[in-house]
Parts: sequence; structure tokens; C-alpha cells
Amino acid sequence: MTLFLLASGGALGALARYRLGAFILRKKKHTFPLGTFLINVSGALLLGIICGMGVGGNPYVLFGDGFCGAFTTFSTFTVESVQLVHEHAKKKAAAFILLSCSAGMACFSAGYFAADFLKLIAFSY
Amino acid sequence: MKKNFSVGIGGALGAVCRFGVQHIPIPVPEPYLPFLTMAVNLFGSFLLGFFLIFFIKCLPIHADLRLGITTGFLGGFTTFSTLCKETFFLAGSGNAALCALYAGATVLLGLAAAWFGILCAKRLERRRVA
Repeated sequence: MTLFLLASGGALGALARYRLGAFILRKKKHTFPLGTFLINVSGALLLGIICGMGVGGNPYVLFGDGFCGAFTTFSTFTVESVQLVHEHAKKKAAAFILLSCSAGMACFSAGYFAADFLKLIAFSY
Repeated sequence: MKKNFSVGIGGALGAVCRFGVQHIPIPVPEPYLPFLTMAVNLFGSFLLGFFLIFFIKCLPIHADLRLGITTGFLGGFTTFSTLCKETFFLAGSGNAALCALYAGATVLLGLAAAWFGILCAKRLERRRVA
């Protein structure tokens, strides 16, 4: 059961990342990896909301470990950073790394606290 | 259509493998468990750096299969959201040193791993051409 949920979430997450990445790539023609940035940051926000809501057990395996885990990607983030350095766009690489990390953490925290707060209000009624 | 299929299959396998590594039963205290995610992310970064060059320069496989392995499997294997989550909870647990070590080491070593993967593939290509 766990494996099935993981695989379904993972397949959907990876597919969503691929389609969204291709869509963003068509929209703009800059060297800054905007697609990976937006995907990682929005995935972190979504996982923050999921964790803040207190989702656990099988639903967490499907949405958290499966979907969010596969939707966001660390390897593309590091490889694109190194490629930017190789293309002599060091400033863009630094901006990409710092922005991804800080925005990722900020969005996760924002999602977590917002969901936690809403849960508190919902349960107090 | 085939591309979507290979990315989906790759992502499913990647997520299952990641979950498997994250749940390796090793006898370490709970605060150190995020380092299994770190191992996943570092290994995945190395492999993606390596295969992106390798599949184009050394072993030209079918484009759909390449996409399935790189974007699908390795993209789904490594994760950014879990990194944020674990950093967040480590920070919340009051262990600032461990939190800084985890986040800092993942990002810096991850960049190094990607660079090393690219380097290895380029070396292989040069040896093959020479």
C-alpha cells in the first residue's frame, strides 16, 4: 500500500514538474533557471501547508513523500547552479542558490504557520 | 506522450527509492535521520551531473529513456521540499548547530557532487575521444 501511494505520488509529482518546467521554459528565454526555482519554492510551500495541517500516515506518504518529494528536485538545482558557473554567469548562480534556499525556507515556514493557524481556528469552533 | 510516460515511471521509481533510503534502519538518534535525505540528495546530484553529460557525449540512448532517467528518476529521487521541512524542524528542535550543519552541508556538498559528476563524465568523454 505504502509503495503504491509513493509510486502514484512520485509519478504525478515528476510529471507535473516536467510539464510545468517545459511550460515555463517556453515562456521565457533567460539563463536564470526560473522553472526549477518556481517549482522548488512552490513545492516547499505545499509541503509546509501539508505539515502544518498535521497530515500523517498514508495521506502524507502520497502527498508529502510522494508528490512534493518528486515535484521538487535537488539534483536539478545543484546541476543548473554548476552549469551557470561553467557558463561564466557566477552572479546568476549565486542569486539562484541564495534565492532558492531562502525563499524555500520562507515558503515552507509560511505554509506551515498559516495551515497550523487555520487548523487552530477551525478546531476552536 | 511517451515522454510523459517515461517521466512518470522514472518519478515513481525515484520516489520509492528515496523512501527506501530514508527508512534504512540504522541505529542513530532521531535528530540525525535527516542525514539519510542528505545522502539521497548528494548521490542524486552526482548522478544527474554525470548522466546529463554521459548520455549525450558517451552513450547516446533514446531521448525518452534519457528523460525518464534524468528528469524522471533522478529528479524524483532527490527532493528540495523535504530538505526545507527537515531544516525547519531541526531549527524548531533548538539544535541550531545541527540544523546549520545539515542545511549548509547539503547545499555545499550537493554543488560539489554535481560539479564532480560533470567532471567525471567529461574526463570519460576525453579519454574516449583520445
